[in-house]
Amino acid sequence: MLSRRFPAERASPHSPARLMKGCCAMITPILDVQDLDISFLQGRKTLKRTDHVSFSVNPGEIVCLVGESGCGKSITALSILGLLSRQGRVTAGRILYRGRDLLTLDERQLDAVRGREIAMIFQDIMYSLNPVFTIGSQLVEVIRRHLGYDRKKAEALAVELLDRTGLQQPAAVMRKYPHQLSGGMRQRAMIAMALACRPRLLIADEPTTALDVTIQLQIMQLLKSLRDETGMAILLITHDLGLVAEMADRVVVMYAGQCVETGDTRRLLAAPAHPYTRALLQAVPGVHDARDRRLLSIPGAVPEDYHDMAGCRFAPRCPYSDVCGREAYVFEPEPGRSVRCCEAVAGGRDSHAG
Amino acid sequence: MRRYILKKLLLAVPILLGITVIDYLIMCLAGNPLDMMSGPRITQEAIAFKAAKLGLDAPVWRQYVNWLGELLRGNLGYSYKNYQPVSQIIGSHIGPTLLLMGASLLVGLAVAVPAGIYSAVHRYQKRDFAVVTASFFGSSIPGFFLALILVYVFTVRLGWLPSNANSMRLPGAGGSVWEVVKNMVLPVAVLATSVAGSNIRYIRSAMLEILEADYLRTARAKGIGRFRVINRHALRNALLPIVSVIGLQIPTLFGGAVIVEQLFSWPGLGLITMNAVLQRDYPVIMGVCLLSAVVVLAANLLTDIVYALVDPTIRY
Amino acid sequence: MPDERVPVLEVKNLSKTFLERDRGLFRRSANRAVEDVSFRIDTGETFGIVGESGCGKSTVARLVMGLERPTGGAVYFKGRRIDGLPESRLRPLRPHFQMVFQDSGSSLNGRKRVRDILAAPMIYHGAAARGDAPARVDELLDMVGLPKGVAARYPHEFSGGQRQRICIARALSLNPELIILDEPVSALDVSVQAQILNLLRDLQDRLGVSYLFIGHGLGAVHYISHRIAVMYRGRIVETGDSETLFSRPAHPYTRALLDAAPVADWAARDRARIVLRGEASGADWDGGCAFRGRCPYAGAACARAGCALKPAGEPGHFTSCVDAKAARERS
Repeated sequence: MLSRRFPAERASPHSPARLMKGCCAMITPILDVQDLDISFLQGRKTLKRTDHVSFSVNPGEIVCLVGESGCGKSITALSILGLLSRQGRVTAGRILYRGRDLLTLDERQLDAVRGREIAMIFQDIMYSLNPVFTIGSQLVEVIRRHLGYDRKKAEALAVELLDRTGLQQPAAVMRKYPHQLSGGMRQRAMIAMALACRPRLLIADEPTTALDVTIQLQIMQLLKSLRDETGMAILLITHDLGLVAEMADRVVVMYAGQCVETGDTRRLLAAPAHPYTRALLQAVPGVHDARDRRLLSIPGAVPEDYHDMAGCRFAPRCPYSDVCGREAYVFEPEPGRSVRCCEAVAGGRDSHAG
Repeated sequence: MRRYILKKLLLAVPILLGITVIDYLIMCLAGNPLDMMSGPRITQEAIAFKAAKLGLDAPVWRQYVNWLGELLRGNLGYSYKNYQPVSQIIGSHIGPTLLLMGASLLVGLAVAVPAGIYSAVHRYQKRDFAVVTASFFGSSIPGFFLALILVYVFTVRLGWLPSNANSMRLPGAGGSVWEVVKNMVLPVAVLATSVAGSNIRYIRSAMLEILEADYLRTARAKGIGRFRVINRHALRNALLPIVSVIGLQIPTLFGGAVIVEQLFSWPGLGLITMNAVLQRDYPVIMGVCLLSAVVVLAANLLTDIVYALVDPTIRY
Repeated sequence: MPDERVPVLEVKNLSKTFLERDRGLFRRSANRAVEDVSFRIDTGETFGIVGESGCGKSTVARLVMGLERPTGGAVYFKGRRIDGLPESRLRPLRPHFQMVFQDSGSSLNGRKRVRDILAAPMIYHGAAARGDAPARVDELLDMVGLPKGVAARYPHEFSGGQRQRICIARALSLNPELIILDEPVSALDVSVQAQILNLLRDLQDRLGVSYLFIGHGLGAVHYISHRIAVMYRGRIVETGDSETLFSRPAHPYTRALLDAAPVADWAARDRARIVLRGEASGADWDGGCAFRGRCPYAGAACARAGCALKPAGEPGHFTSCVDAKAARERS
């Protein structure tokens, strides 16, 4: 099979951006992130926290952005809607939403996209919803802002949305404050708020990390059914590989600010190409494992100061680093998949070791 | 809610009682009006006679109990100096004090709240710096010093405003509202400066915390616009610390007013309290102490109630 | 020689009810956090407790440690009753059972260096003289896989996984027979979690220490535990060997937990599973099965069922479901 390799560079016709997406040229993606660099100001230093991050989401697709803490997945998601904190800024790259680069929009134009075309829900750590406003008023606010309904119509729609997300007694919930609801109910309310204007893309940043596993199942099934009903695409940020398997059509694995592997979920789980992906899958304890199974623990830890690391960032911990000479580039081991590694280790199906 | 208020009111009574006991003790420790009577022509008999007449020959605790007994009958006593009923003395002077305090509080907060919010929204920029520096000045400059400066500028140099209210006449007695206002400007300016100075930083830090909140990020993500995010979502949460600040200001103002009233001869409680203390006029002192305690407790209760109304997460 | 038949820890009918000021001035509502919990842990064994938020598992840990007094039942450590003991009588026993918590950041005193943190318990209990402490500290650090040089550092200079190792080292410093771990890996990344779980297993093989492992991640609990109890709203609903429990669950809640746990396997994606309705409500216990409000198999008998555990077929396997056989057949 054909595999092309190019040193990481941007904006050329065969740039890693195009390869990293792993999608056929025919479908125009609804979201197309190309070579995204995000930097943060820390004191006097500027630290580059993401490097050439590229991936895309097709209409109606669920794409998971997966990685461990500090890999840059959350800030990538925040940067799409321009929600980075004061110290963060995008220093390179493009974020194309249906062809328009969101990074070129000013605040007002971006506001027209937020909540309307692209909606975002967050990990609910108690205060993701404003504690002094009722659920109803927070819902009505976004409905009236983007759809221009009058109060009565907006409230009716709000009740409908709360009902759709599975909340019991939606009319009563309208009058409640966030602290009067449980975590699962608050998340449903946030989903209702996000869906109010029928966005084409929903970005979900670890929406169930703080929830019980049985509630998580409910929420995930809800998201899937909403996607099936409305054709909305979902970009799901998570650290849980199991969720990836359950939800994602395609996966983007991130490590130390870079995308290390992307591809179709089924293929990726069956035959992971990048050593990090492989190691991660072997480190997850499963409920049906044999008693004598030994979890693989990746030696070392995620480098804290990876922002100016050159070459392969996973090499210090990679079991194959003597083979590859610590250089990494982006290539496609098969159509629809891309890996940031060296060919000897990850290229081709035959060189998969264990 | 009713139960909440009732509980607070019930608690207030023993507190009030305790305060009066402490006040009385301290007052007696500070000295006796009889000490003021000294001189070559004053005989021991005269002192003893006066003591008996005023009830000062009894032990301290009996004096206190007498005072309390009279109080429960609605009688605050009579001034040792001019034998006027204390309630009348206080009643005639409390109005101007409340006016001064109220105006200072309003002006002070009207400056502090927007400044604090502005400062927080533009944090770490030059304007933030300027506002914080100004607030440091405001809270650290002594009241009398600021008063002197203001009097120098506005009375001596510019002649715009009077420096004392000796000749001020109240609207009921031939004066006008405008005259009262003119006399109020300088003392209010002094008091409001210190109110604003200390509160700007408090509101700024409360606002900073709010600006970091997750729900603001959620609000931004809804696309409702930066203006609405700050002025509706953030501000509404800022009400909570502002309300608690107001409650805390009132006792401070009560004390600060004493000095300012002296400086500007403002005919309020401050003036008579000072004189009463210097002359050991027990009934008047106790009367003012009691009033002060009631004002503080009432302010606290009101703050608690407003807070409970404004913050839906409080269960009462 | 330790008596092998006496379990390291035995808990009998443990209960804890909290009185909470819920409404108005003087009324209080009773929160039955733990209700009639019994289990035992033998030498060198790991007993896992798994359940979702509000099930009472953390309260059980605190009761065993003596941080809370039970409102009913008893806790026995190596045959001796330890619940309700005054602190002065409990203190000499403390070196024998130690605890590791979820949040390593707040479990370590940020103002002390690692060597002081690790030496303090030993010096306090007289397990090591002040002069011997540094050597022992190095030994402990080595046991948990940390390089010797880090003893002089402060906790904030470490990553979450490393801090958790320090907490484990501290727990080991007094050579306990039992370590209670309350969600020790829940806040850690997958790769770090694997490291810590492997470390715990290795330590158990080497030192013969027993663990009471409390967690909500089924995979992690399964990996490290020999036997497991599943808790729901204060009660144990099923208990058994970790193999059997997860492959042949006899309670619908266990089944639901297993179904809900995400599996990193494409084939598992569309498996048939129970999706529970609603959430664990705050309704008070009324004599019937606490789970029946959400149970897809609830029947008339469930309203009168108690929470007592009954045998579920295999030795050591118990369930509180009245219809255990039917539940198992459906799985």
